[in-house]
Formats: sequence, structure tokens, C-alpha cells
Amino acid sequence: MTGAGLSGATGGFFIRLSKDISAVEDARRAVMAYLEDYWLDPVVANRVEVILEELVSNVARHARDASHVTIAADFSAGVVAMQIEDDGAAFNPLEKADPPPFTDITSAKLGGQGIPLIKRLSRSVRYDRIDDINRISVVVAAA
Amino acid sequence: MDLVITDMRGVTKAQLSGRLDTANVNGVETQFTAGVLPLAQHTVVDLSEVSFIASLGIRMLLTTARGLNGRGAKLVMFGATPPVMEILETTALSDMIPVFGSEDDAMAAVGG
Repeated sequence: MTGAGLSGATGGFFIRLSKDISAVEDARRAVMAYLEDYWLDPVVANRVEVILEELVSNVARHARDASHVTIAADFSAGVVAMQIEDDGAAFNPLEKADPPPFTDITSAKLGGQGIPLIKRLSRSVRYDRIDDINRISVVVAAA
Repeated sequence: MDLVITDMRGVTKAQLSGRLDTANVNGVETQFTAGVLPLAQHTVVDLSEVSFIASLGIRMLLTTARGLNGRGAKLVMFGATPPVMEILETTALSDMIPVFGSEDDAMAAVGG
């Protein structure tokens, strides 16, 4: 995977990290350093950080048989596009039903909020299984 | 991630500082719940120095609020920055755990 593989990308950013919990912070620092040049609104930058955190954390903590995670990012045409890939067993985190919305404190489901958060903060998110690779593609509006 | 817990005239004040992310929540969650829950008092959480929150941080706050609720006490928050507030609203956590603009308003909400 390269940054140029991203939809609409003209260049972009790419990093490959070992599947380890340290990948979450390493990915964040690297992607946010790349995006620094684009002066994103702090709320938009935070959306990117949250989405990245949730996706890389999911791989690091849950991806069975994965050895690494790769992150590609690109800023163009007013959107931040990212692809997060791992080489673990096929798993589509988007197909699981979202937990019911929070209504009261005693019945609210603990956990499982990561994927719904990604869906709500992004313009689009999709999963593909390509050549034994799990790929999540996510687009965040920058304005 | 830093945590300071103080007693404010019978109301617990928990001041969190730093990032409530994957790397930090595991470290601070035990301190937070162990420091707040046994007191079984209304609690105000100062988020003004929290620069980031994601789902694990949401779970930590919800778990503690539920624990306090079971002991007859309320948890409220104050001082969230706009990026943090957006996440609290997007998850609807702020519908269940009120978020106030100031410490005075938060204290007033729990009768402190």
C-alpha cells in the first residue's frame, strides 16, 4: 500500500509499524506531524486523531495473527483520507451492529463505542479484504 | 496522564490532565475508580486539562459514573475543551453525565 493508492491522493504519507500497542502512539505522532503543514482546524485534527486511535488500537489489541499495521494518509481536496491495514485474520469491524445509544447510566453498554464513534466523525468508512489484508478506508472532511 | 483527587466540602473533585487515550487510560483508570468510588460522594471531574479522549476514556467515565450512581451519588464534569466536548456529545455521554462550563456550576449541580 502506498499513499498514492488512496482515492484522490496525489502523494501523502505512509508508515508501517509492528503490531504492538506502541503503534498507536507512533502512528499518531507520525500522521499528525504529516498533517501539521495543512493547518487543520483543531476539531478536525482531533477527529483524525480519534479515528486513528480507535483503528490502530483495534489492530494492536485485537487483530488475530497480525504482525504489522500500515497507515497511509493524504490530505487533498478538503479531506483527510486514511487507510489502515493489517495482515491478520479476516475481520470486518464495521459489520457488527452498533451498541444501542446511551439513554441512561444504568443500562448504557460499557465498551463498543469505538466503531460508532468512527462512523459519526467521518464522512465515510469502509472495509475491504484484499490479498489477505484487512483494509479500513476512512475519509474525514477537513472543513 | 495525571490525576489529583481532593475533597471539596464533601464533594470529590477529580482533576485529570493529559490524554485519555489507549496508552494512558489503563494506567489511570484504576487510580481514578479506586480514588473516587469508595468515597461514595457526589463527584466533579475537571476536564480542562484533558487534551484528548477516545472510547476507552468514555468507558472509564461511564463506569465510574455508574458505580457512583449505584452508591446514590452523582458524577458531573466541567471544563471540556471543544475537541473533547465534541467526543462527549458524539457518544452521547454528555446526555447522561452533565458537562458544565465552570467548576462553580458543576459544584452547584451537586449541591456543593
